[in-house]
Amino acid sequence: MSNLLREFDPLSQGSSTLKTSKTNVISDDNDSITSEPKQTSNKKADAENQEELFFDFQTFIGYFKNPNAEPLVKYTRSFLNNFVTQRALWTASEQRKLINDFKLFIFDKFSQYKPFSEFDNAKLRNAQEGIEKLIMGKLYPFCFSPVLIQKIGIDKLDEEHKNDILDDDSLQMKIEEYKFIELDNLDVTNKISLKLNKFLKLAGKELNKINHYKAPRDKMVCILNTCKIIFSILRHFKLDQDGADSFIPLLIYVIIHGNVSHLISNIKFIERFRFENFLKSEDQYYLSSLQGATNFITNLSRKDLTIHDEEIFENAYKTNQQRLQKQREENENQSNLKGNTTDTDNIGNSTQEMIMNPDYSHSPIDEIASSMVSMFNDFFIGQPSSTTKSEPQSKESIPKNPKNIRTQNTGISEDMLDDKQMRKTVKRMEEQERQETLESLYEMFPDLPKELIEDICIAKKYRTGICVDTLLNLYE
Amino acid sequence: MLQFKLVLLGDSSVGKSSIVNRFVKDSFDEFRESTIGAAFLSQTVTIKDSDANGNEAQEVTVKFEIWDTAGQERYKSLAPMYYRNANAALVVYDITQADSLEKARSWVQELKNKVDDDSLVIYLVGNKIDLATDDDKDKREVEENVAKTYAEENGLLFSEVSAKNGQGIQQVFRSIAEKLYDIRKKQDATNNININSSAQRGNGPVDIHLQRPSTNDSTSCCS
Repeated sequence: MSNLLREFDPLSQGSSTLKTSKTNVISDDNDSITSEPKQTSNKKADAENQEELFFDFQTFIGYFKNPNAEPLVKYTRSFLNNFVTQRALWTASEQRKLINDFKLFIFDKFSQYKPFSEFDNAKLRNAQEGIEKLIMGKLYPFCFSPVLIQKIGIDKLDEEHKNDILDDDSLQMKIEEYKFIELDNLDVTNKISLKLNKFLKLAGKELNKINHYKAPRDKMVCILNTCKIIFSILRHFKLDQDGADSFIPLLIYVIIHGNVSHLISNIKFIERFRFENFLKSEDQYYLSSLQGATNFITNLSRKDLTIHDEEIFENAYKTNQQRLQKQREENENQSNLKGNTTDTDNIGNSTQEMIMNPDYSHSPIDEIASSMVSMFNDFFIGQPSSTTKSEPQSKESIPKNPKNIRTQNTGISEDMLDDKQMRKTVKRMEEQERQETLESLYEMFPDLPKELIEDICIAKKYRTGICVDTLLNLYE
Repeated sequence: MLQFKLVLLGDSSVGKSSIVNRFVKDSFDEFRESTIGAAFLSQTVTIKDSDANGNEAQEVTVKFEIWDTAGQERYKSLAPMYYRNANAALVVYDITQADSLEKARSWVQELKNKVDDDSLVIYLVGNKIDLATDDDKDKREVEENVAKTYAEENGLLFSEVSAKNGQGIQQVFRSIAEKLYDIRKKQDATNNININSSAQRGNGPVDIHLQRPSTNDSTSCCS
């Protein structure tokens, strides 16, 4: 059942178009898995009946605002407050336990207050997802290591959070070292041609979205979407039946070429803060695969690669080393110009990159999602979140995380955003996302007429996985 | 419904994915779940349970979550990610390739060394018997007796199958389901006796609490 609960769009504005498209996701998949028409049609009907089940954050917030549910709101407030005031820093294990305990507590309380007490299982699940998204959105700066490090500094971080950052850096360094490798170095069967690169780029783009969202569930959806695109490629080359043998090398390749920052921190964040009952089966499989693939890359050495021509490989390796050397020198010059870089010096490349690029932590889409719960903006008033503001910043540096600060400062203006404005903004952002999907697809299928690609996108509601599937079929 | 995690291990050419594809394809099932692709599949089987006196056979549905692993040697290091918390492992070799049995043996060894859980069910499967029919015996490189003896010595379940024509496939999963069900029944019986000792499991060693969330928290501005 759990698959029916999942929808493949972290935006989840709950519009009817999204719901229809989600139904498509499910039925399309089952078409490809089973050849028995009876089952397929059963599944389809099933999926349609289950429409209500898809996660819809807005609906949840609607119920949450119900006066009858006020105690639930107060419990949540109280928890968030305690979490951020009782201690400046919890270890990751402590956070995991506290947050899990609270979820169990509040899920249990659902049975006492209307309208939650009258919910069926599907609606309850939606409400549980809603709570998780709400609290993790609020606690993100305290729980997601790359943001936390900016508040606390690496020296004061607990072991676990610190290791996330160090592991991110080790992975990043290996990726830089082997960025030039090709599919055949990873034993990808030669049935797959080189034009595949373009398709894999799209999978990489999808994986990059993991940094656009704060909720563990939304991050998980990005991973699943990435894997889904990889499988549509494999299906196209009739290799999907080889299962993990063909999937794992492509996943590794996508990670190496995808340029995703903080992948390890993201994986750890999902592991720690996704409610354990939700992190099961297929989700867990693909999260473990991603974890396995990142471990593989972190420990990558030449002996793990298939090298057909030593000389060519050696040259590519050298060229890449030179590029890295040049990059390091440039970075050093830059930081010399900037003067003291204090604690960033002893952290690896990716951390510096992250600081230079303030866009890393979340996209505006997620900002909007959190502004929808503007009723919660008073949570942290007078609380440690303000330390971010009062903490002395080195004078010449730009605020390290402007976005984060903006969220906290603009509570009032977000409050004033009425529903209409919000919907408008969300719509505009969806439009932008669609445009981006279109552009990538044009790039992937240069031989197909653009109008055709657009038509298919509209028909398939811009679900990247299915669009690629359909277009690949046409392509042949 | 009982649910078990089954991990698939074996060299990339032995056809381990085909075994699962065949199993899933030949089963009629409402509960099939896979939305992403063929590396993770889930499938239920129904087995009969007879009580201690052997009467009143009752149907039991067992759901397998099947985790495929990459069989290429270079991805061997990923395997622990997959077999942790597994209830069963299907270790596959190809009867027409002698060294695939060696690989299978090393998987069995690794499972025995690395998996703490004594109740892990390991099933050794020799695939591709369709290639070594009576007319074409030369292709066989691993004698059934050799593998069978090895399996018995190591407490593994064992059989030979053909993913290509489906021979023996359903029986493999049925046997695993029965064995796991048996183990679970015994575990439940023991757990009922020590119910108090097993109550404290939860979230591991961390013992920390916030004050209980309340509806009239003085620090909350709007209470």
